Amino acid sequence: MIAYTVYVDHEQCEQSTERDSLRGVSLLLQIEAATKSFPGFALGPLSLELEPGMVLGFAGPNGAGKTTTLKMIMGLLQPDSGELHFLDSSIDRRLGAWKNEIGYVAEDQVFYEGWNGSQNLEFQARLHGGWCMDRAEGLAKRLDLDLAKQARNLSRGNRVKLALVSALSYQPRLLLLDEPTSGLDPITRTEVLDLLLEYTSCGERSVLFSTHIIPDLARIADIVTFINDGLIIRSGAPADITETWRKIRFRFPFKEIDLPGVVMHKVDGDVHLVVTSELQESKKKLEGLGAMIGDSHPISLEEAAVYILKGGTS
Amino acid sequence: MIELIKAEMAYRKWSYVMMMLMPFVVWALAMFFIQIDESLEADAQYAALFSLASSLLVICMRVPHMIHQTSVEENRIQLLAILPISPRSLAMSQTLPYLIFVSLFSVLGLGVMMVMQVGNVVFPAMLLVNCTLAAIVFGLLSFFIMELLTLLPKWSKMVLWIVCILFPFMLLRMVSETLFGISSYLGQSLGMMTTSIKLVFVGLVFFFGHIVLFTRMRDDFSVRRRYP
Repeated sequence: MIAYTVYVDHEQCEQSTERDSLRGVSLLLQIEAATKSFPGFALGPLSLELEPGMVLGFAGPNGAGKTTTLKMIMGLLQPDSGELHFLDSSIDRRLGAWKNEIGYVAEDQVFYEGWNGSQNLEFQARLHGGWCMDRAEGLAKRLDLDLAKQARNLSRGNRVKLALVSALSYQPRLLLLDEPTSGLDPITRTEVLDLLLEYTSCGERSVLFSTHIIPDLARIADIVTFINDGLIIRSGAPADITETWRKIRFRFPFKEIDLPGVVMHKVDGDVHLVVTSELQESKKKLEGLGAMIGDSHPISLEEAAVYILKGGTS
Repeated sequence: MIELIKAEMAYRKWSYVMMMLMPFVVWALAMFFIQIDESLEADAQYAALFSLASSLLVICMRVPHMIHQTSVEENRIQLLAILPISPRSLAMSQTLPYLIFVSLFSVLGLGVMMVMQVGNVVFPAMLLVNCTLAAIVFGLLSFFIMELLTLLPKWSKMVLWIVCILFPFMLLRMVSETLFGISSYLGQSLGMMTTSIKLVFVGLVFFFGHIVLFTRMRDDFSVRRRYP
């Protein structure tokens, strides 16, 4: 049972974050074979698990299903089939209290446009349990956000900041962010990423964020999940990808060669260039075939993302 | 939810002020045209303008709300939908401010009518009463249909859609008859209604009443459908 109180005093703010710990909760979020269809697009079946303290990055091209997935979790869309569990319980969409445990920053941030930042925050403070106004103001200051400006006069970057301040001020268990860093200048972007890392540092809160900016994923994501055409095509730790994927150059007299885990293959005469996700097996096979192996280089997560999302073909 | 309703009312306050001012603007215009066109008989002038102004007022009451129903408004509902409130409370937060407003508006209209029962002052009071009565009936109707929808299973929605299209037509006939009766009574007491003008009036109220009802219902259905 979680009890909420809206606090505005700084000392009390510390108490307001003392919700029940996640004892006995192994998964913060679990999606089981969820599907959602629209004319011309189908998402899933999609399964996803998010442990407490985890940052899960969601990467994929436009229209891949990232926003649909986030909206489904937030209850803005109802899945056609499948199950969504939050904090080990099935989400009851007829109720609203569970949304107090989820913060959501949409791709297009929405506010009461005629109100300034402070008024928008005060409005939300009255509706969210666990809201800390001191924390909100501190975050706004840290992000260099002018709360006196009307929402309609805020730039895209400042709207993202205001949405982030809103979402972080009641310290939800799960933060869903849809392209949170797009449109931000490099300094603010770094600040936002730092904020997210701090947010999950206690080990009981998680972040699920979608982005096109792969270096952001490389920096803060524990797990990166690639999605394309509504299906998850690969999921893993960024380090696993960058450590095991290699670009290998070798000489081999024939154009055709079958190597494991190859996602890119270029041939120029007898010089072959491949990118493989299975370095050792590929090398073993090349040695067996008598190929002359030249240099091999690690690839960045961004490069790997391109190959993964292109479908792993040459 | 009270906080949300307060926020909604604060957010729409200028729309409401505009709605409050509109009958008086219409009344002023009516007086202006009556003075210009003196060839018409007095009762015909009043009756024609009454019909026209009633219809205009219904539209004017609705237009500010319809303006909100743009993509901006759709997005704003997204803001509300992520707040920790139930979908039912969300839908009510959209409907109740409207009902609260029209109720206040109605009381004001009745108050004006009771206090100033002389000369032309009755004219704007009649507009207020007619239009607010219509708005209250339409608002309540859509509200109860929405609540009914919440209680019923998903498969029944299609049936309800059909009922929702047919039922208001029947009910609106009753509503417009009632409004016609009130107007007729007030009109006769002032000696200013002719039969043809009465028919025009009924037609207009009937027609614009539907606009009010269906836009209101569309908004509520939109909320329900998008955020089940």
